[in-house]
Amino acid sequence: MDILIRMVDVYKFFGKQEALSGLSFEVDEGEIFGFLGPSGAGKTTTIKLLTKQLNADKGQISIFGNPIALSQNNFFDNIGVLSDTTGFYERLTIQENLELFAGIHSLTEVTIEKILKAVDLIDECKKKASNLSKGMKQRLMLACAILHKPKLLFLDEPTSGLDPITAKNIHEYLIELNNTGTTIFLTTHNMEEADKLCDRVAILNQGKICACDTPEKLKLEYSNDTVYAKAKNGKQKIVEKNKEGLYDLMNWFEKNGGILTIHSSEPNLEEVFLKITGRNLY
Amino acid sequence: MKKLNKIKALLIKDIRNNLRNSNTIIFTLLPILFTELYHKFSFGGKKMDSFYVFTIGLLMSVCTMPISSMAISISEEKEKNTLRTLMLANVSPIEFLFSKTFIIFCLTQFVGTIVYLLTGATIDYSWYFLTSSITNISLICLGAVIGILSKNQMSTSILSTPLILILLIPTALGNLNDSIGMFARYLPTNAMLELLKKQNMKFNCATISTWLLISICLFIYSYRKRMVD
Repeated sequence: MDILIRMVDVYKFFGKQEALSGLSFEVDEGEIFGFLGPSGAGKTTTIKLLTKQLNADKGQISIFGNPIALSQNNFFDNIGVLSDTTGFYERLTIQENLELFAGIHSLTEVTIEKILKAVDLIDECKKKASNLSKGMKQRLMLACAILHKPKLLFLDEPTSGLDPITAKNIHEYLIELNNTGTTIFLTTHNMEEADKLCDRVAILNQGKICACDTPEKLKLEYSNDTVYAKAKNGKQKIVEKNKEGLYDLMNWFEKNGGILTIHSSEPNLEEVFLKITGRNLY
Repeated sequence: MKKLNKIKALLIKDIRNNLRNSNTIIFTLLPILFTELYHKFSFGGKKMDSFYVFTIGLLMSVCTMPISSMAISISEEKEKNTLRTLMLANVSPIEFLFSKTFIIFCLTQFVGTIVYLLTGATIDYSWYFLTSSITNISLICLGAVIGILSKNQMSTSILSTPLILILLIPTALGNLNDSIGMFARYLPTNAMLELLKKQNMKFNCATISTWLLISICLFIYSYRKRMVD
């Protein structure tokens, strides 16, 4: 599997403030890579560096195997970006907005129709963009970003402020897109979203990566290795997650009327983040 | 081919966007409306001179549209993040500016032609077209500079309003006061009107060319310094 993004020891300063302090990571082709962290951790700065909206003060950044500084004119033909710095034309309809981006990428009308169906905006395509709801606007921007089937898609908080149903629809579409070969770089502070979508996640705090692995491995790594049990008579017990603990638990259930519930105690990603950084996400 | 498709898409976008933009519609209709009104006016039973009415309409369109519409159009794209979105879709700043310049140029020349037809001015159309085009291009460059320097639509008026007044008022009132007339001699708008009458050809050609050169240099400088975004 090829490495699509490589950042090595990247620093970025805004005045005297250090936004990124020696950031290093790699993203493989075909994966959904989550970049997690609280507001101000450096997530958006990283996306801006990777999409040539900012230049790094120090370090190396390569995309598609080439240093970003030497990237060709067609660099943006292979990437899509949805972030707080992307927008759409409010006076134009949904269809007209997509026609613009289809024209820019020399695509056909068929592609527009497919995308409209995929993001569930086909019935509203004649609506003026300024009259759309927040969820629809977000879906329109997503449609503009993925119209040309980019190899690499950058999403900065794609479902922030959206209702659960719209967020779920966007998640489903992102998984579908990933299955067709698009690598997704996702920044979010929504840990549930990251857990659901990402193959790997990196936890960013104060411009540095504190941990980087699959959500499952991270949760297991920071689990406290205990099992919570509740017997049918209402009594509760916590035991160690090992052979002895298990025997102990079976005896305890026999004495207390049998099993009601058993839960292992892996933390969720938010708790992992708290354990690693000592900081809250919001 | 891909580049042509891109420019075509940008042109269609700018046409659609301008036709639905109340600012552009007002700037387009005002000179036509004023020309029609002045053309119908009569003082003591005498109608206003058709060439004078033509110059008023032409001045209004050449001063407002290239400067204001161009500046607002660029700054609006910055403000609404659409410019950044275009850049992230592989649109170059030159392609972006070319499309805007072309549309504003055509709109201004279209309004000027309507004014010309309404007043029935007795000057050669091709001469009018050539003279107004050169002035139009230099003022579009100045409008683009304002658009590049401004952060949002509101701030464009801080720079564009004084410039429009400087170009418009001394040219319109130059005959009433010698000092104003002296100042107006060095303005591209005054030079354009005098060239239309084929007066002081050498001096006015030099004035209009100097303005064109200065505005292009200013545009290149501000573009290199700030880019578009």
